[in-house]
Amino acid sequence: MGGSRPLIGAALVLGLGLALASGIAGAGQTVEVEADRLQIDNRLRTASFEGNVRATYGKLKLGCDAMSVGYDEDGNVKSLKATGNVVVRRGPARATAAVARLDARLGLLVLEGRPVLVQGTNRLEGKRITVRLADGKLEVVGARGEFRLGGGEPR
Amino acid sequence: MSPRSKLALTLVGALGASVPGGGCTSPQPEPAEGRPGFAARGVELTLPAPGGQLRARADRLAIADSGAELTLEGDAAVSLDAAGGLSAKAHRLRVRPAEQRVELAGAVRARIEIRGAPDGGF
Repeated sequence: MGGSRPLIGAALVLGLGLALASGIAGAGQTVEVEADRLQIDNRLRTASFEGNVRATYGKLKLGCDAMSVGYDEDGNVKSLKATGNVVVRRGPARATAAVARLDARLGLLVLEGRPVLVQGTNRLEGKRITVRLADGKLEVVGARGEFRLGGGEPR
Repeated sequence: MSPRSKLALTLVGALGASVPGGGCTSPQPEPAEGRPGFAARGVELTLPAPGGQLRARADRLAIADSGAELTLEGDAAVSLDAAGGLSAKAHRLRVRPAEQRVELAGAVRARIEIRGAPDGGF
């Protein structure tokens, strides 16, 4: 029985990734943002949101102190970087980190700075958590998890 | 049209000429009330931006610092629709054309269009 635990743990970890990623799939390609201030710098090709930043992308909701959007030479969004008290929510799944970066081209959400992913009683933390938004696959560097199976003690 | 309104119109026109690729239109220019510079209602401002133009609209425009700084107020909106798919609204919008910087403040609401994402990802 004990040999099945890593598989169950892996399934739960994948479930956490899917929980965040499924908020994106089919959500269209528009991010709605509310903030106190916005600065657009055409020379640096950046748009910087500050103060009570709240972003919604489909069912995925992100809150942070500041968010910077980078553009390429054609004006297309290259990346989004959220900093300060970052909280990402999608239904019951919740992730916190100091920094979250969304790479639009690669379809990756990277959480850094004591990232913690929580859903129900399952908790996963690491040095860096990367969520592949296409399929919810997680890559965790320095992973440490806590999973409760059937309401039992943490494994 | 009062002499001051004519001057405001001239300033607005001159500002457009001073911004490469940009411009500013103001159908009903009038003196600013209780503040330095000039104001105009029904303003549309364009500036060059990556991949296209930045377009700003507002109810009022105040010009200060010899045109180095423009403040747009009242249902202010800015869009980079020709470029990065960014559009935003706010109570107040400050533009510094020479620095190509735009600052929005007060209940900022923005929409960002993500283009070129991998299939199935976004």
